[in-house]
Amino acid sequence: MDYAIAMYSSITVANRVKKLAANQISYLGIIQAPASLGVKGCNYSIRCKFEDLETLRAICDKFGLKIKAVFKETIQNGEKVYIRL
Amino acid sequence: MIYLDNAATTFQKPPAVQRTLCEAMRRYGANAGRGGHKLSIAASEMVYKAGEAVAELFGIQDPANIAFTLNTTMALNMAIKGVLLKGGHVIITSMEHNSVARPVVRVAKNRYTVVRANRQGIVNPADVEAAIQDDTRLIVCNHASNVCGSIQDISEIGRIASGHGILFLVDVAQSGGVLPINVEKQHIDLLAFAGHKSLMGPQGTGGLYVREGLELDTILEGGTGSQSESLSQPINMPDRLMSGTVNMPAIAALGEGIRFVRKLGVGAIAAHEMKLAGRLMEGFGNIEGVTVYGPESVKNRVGVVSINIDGLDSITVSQILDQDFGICVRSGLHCAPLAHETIGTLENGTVRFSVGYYNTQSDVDRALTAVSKIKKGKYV
Ligand SMILES: Cc1ncc(COP(=O)(O)O)c(C=O)c1O
Repeated sequence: MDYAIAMYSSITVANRVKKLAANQISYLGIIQAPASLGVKGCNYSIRCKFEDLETLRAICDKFGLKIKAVFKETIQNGEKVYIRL
Repeated sequence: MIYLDNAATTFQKPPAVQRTLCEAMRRYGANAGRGGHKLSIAASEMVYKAGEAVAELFGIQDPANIAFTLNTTMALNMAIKGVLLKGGHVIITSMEHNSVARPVVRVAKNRYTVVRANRQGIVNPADVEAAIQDDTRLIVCNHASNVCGSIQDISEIGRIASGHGILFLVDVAQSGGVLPINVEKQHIDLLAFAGHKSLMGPQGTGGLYVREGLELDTILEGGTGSQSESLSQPINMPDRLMSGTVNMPAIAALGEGIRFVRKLGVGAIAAHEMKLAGRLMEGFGNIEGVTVYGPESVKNRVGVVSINIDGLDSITVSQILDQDFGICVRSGLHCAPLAHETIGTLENGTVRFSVGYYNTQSDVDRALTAVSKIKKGKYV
């Protein structure tokens, strides 16, 4: 399965997004995305099913919560890879 | 023991608060916001949920605008210095605690005005308006006095501050959890609260709400678990004001305390405390030689009742209450010399009885009997 990783400026923002999206998105978790993705900072992110990304973006837009960067997490040749969107 | 010192810190705490505190330490006592592992994420979620509880109680839109602190004093220092480090005039009232007066004196030097309350401890909002100067940047007011329980008309003072474009900081240490508070309706830009008083949390908890878009100067900088690539303090709340490891178990338990308060209802808690305070006031009023301070009507006060017994030192009275009657109260100046000066008790202080949700009518009656006996000299 593919996942979307949406990065935020802090854990508080990630917690708020998780709360706001809880009833609209089926899988939702807070993770710290890998530093190797090239985004500076502590990388607190929401990880959800890729198909839910647009819903997630809409919720963030509605509440003015800035997404620092978005990645698609997928498996290629048996390895986890991240594609920046 | 009978505990009547709830204005200092409430005791007992609801069972759910005690349970949450222990559970947080036992089950997910990791560092909130300082890692990506499950326990750290769970810990940060508990802190966030406590922020939500605070936001719901005080009508705050976004929990991110609340920074948890160690106590009210820290929140007040962050707000006062955060606004005034760059200068400007500030207005405070004569009912303020030293946690307002001292930082104001330190940071504003002589650019502050103290608006006097009347002998009952009530400030006239028109006097606050009259004290406004061209460069007034901040008005600070406590909602309820820790000395005599008097309640200030913060809605009116907030309206005045907002009308003049001046920031309004309210110290709700004594009113959070017992009086209705809404930052939007009452034009409050900065709200400092105690977690360990009527919000029923453990000691080591408090917080500061900062209106959206208001950027305070910081008095503490450090790790926030965010924007770690930068050597400058983040701008975004709450990280701007929350450096270093937070007191997660206590904050999680505070969240539970606030949920307890909301479940019972602020109005119901206030009604219970008013009934007890009213009984105390009436009882003391019937003992000759006892002076009761503050507003005459219980309607204008929180559950704080300060008295003196003619001819007796206030601290001696509290020692007798403690040693001979097993009653805990606080005497002296209660860290608020300006307020004591206002009500005329700077020299002797007062004996303060402060009721809480867990007090009963029998506690109050035993306190009345004790004071009556002390007055008659029949306590040994
Ligand atoms: C009105 C008022 N403001 C501030 C404080 C300071 O509170 P804390 O002990 O949480 O710093 C108190 C404490 O009793 C208080 O009553």
